[in-house]
Amino acid sequence: MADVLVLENVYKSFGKRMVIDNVSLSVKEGEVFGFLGPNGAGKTTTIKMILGLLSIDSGRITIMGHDIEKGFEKAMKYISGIVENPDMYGYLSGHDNLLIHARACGAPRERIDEVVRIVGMQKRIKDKFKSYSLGMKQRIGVAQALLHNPKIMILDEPTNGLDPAGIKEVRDLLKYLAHTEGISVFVSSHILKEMQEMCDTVCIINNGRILRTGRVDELTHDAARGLYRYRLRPMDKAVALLRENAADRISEIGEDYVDLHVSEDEIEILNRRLVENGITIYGMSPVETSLEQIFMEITGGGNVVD
Amino acid sequence: MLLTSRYALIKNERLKTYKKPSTWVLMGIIVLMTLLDLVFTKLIYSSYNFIQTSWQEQYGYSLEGYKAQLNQNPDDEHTKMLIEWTEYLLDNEIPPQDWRTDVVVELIGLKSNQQQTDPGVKFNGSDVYEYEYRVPMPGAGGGLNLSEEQRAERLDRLERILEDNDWKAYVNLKIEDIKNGYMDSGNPQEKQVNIEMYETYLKENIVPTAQNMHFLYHGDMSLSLIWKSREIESIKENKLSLLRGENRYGEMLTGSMRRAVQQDIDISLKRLATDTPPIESDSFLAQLENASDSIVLFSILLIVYSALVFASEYSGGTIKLLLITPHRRSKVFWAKIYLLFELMVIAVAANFIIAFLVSGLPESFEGIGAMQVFAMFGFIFRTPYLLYIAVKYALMLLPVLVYGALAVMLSIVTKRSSVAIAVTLMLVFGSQIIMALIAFARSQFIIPGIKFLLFSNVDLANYLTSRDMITVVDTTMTLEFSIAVLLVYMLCFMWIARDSFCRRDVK
Ligand SMILES: Nc1ncnc2c1ncn2[C@@H]1O[C@H](COP(=O)(O)OP(=O)(O)OP(=O)(O)O)[C@@H](O)[C@H]1O
Ligand SMILES: [Mg+2]
Repeated sequence: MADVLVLENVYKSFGKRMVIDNVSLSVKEGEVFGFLGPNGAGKTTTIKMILGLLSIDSGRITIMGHDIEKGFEKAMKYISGIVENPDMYGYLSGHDNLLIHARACGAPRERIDEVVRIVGMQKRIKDKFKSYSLGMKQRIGVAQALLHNPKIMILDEPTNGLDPAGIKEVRDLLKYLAHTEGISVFVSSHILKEMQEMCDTVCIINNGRILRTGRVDELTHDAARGLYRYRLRPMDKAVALLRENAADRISEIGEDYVDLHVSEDEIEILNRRLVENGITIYGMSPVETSLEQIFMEITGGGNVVD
Repeated sequence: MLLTSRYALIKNERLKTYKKPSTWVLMGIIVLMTLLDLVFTKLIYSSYNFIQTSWQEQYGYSLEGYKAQLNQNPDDEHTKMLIEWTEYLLDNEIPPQDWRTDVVVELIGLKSNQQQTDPGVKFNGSDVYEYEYRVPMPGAGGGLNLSEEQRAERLDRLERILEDNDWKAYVNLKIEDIKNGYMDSGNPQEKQVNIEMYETYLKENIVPTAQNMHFLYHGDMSLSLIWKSREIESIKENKLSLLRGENRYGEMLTGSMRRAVQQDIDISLKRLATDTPPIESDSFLAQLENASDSIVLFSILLIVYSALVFASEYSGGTIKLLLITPHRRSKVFWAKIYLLFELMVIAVAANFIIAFLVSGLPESFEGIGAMQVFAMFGFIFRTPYLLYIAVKYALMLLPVLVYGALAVMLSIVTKRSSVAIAVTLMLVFGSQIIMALIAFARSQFIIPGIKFLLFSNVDLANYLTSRDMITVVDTTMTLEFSIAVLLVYMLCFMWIARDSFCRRDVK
């Protein structure tokens, strides 16, 4: 499969602060590409560079083989996106907003009705944009991004502010677009769980550096080594024992609990050992795996936002 | 394809702007202000016309006043004479502007044989009020130094002139006065200028109008009746200015001031040669011309619009969507500039049409075909007055466009409409204060380069209409210079605006 979007050794700094530090990645045709990172990781900055809103300090970005700096007009024909919020003209109707974008992108007028149908906004399309709920605005944003049949859509946290039903809808829509319509979707988020269910490939970024890129199945295999919260008695004895024998598995020690990384096969052995050593397990529950915790693992702890 | 994509961007800007209610509210306010201004001036003029009286009535009121004076002071020879001659003017139907009024005034002076000032009484409709009206009586103290014999002879001669109704004889008498040194008219060169003026009447066969009519007449005089003499008089004054090297305000004539005075002479000559009277100040065209003053309001309009068109895209976050379309940023920029231009054209056209109708309809567009003579770029033009008004509108619009460019620049650089609007408005309305400060400073010491300031060049209409250049900051300045300075400013502002729009990061 061909590469739709390629970033090669991209750098960007704001003043003295290096915000994007040697980022390279490529997005293939028809895949959902997740761009993961905590707040301030550099997701929005990268997206703005891809869309030509920010200049690139050094490196190269190409869309369908067109360099975005040298062939901006050609490159932009294949790409669309929503950056941060779906900001549009509040005093205009959804339809007028779409009309404006359609004209600017050279999309035919009939396409407006099509994309409105795709995002399911037929009923409210004549209303003023400012009267929409956040979810409706996101949908109009996606509709706008679909107008000129792009090869790749860039969405910056499209599920931001949506309720669970809304998140699921967006997720299904993006999957449909990528897998049925063949549009590559580049989507940023800081919620791993969300990404797991939607993306084919993910790329994890922190402090402007790419930490890991890979197929979701590979990454989730690592993540499958789950995190469990043990409630043990007596605490001090248990902690001493764990420190001695399984120090690398300890994630966090609380007042009355210990968080441990263990795979499913290991649970049985660990539990047996604890009981053998006279420790009571009076509680044990899986801890939600968040991106930040994966980070700690990848980066060896430390503050994620700095 | 290129054209259509450009047109698509323009259509977008139109949709965005024309569907924004504030666009029309603002334009409505500006147009309404123009309208109110026009109607207000109109009302003032019409009430003024309402109380205007004919010259016969004016003389009638004067007579009543003289007679009241005579009642109190029955032996006052002078008052008797005033009554006698005012009645003479009425009986012979000699209107105040007629040259014979001068002869009459001179006769009164000669007969009283004393320097006189007249504590005049002006009757104005039903309101009666007094004011001091001091006119040196020509013939007596008015510069003529005559012996008793010469006085008698002159009395004779004047009475004959009056009888014969012979204006040429009167003009010749004036020339003789100068030549004989009866009238104090300066050095030989200045004398020559004075003589030339009187000779112009004879040469061009122009009947002079009364110079001293206000000695007897206390009303207003229609410009069209006396304009020729005014022009001839003005030519003389200007020639004397050139000779003396200072204007009538005692300012040294340097640089372009000299040129302006010379131009003024040329304008007068052209007016006389082509028989082009100036228009009356209450005429339809004059009102239309005055409406061009409200062009300064359009700078407010343009400033707010440029802030709306540019800064609001940043503050609303819509700039991101705007710039990720397959167009170079400069194209988007120019589409917006074009739209501002279009808005300006709409506003100015609306303003002009309203001014045209409001000032024209009640007068049934009387005098629409009048001509105007004016100087521009060192040439004298004679064009229809309407065209002249258009030129004036254009000249007044140029600074507005410069302020607009400044607002555009500030909107883009600061990304805040409030900053752009505040700073530009401050400059527009603060410019008067700044200019006043500069004028003060200028009187104290020389400020080099002051003529290159934006404010020194915004008053372009000044060059067309002002007959003396006292409002110009630096006498080496000309219309061409000011236009060039304004254009340079505008280009700089536009260049910075474009550059920062096209190159800067959208954060
Ligand atoms: N305009 C700016 N000027 C200076 N620094 C900036 C600017 N915009 C972003 N940054 C910095 O760049 C870094 C990356 O910011 P960015 O917005 O790309 O993060 P993000 O991954 O999108 O975070 P979030 O999840 O909060 O949206 C941050 O440290 C931020 O402080
Ligand atoms: Mg972000």
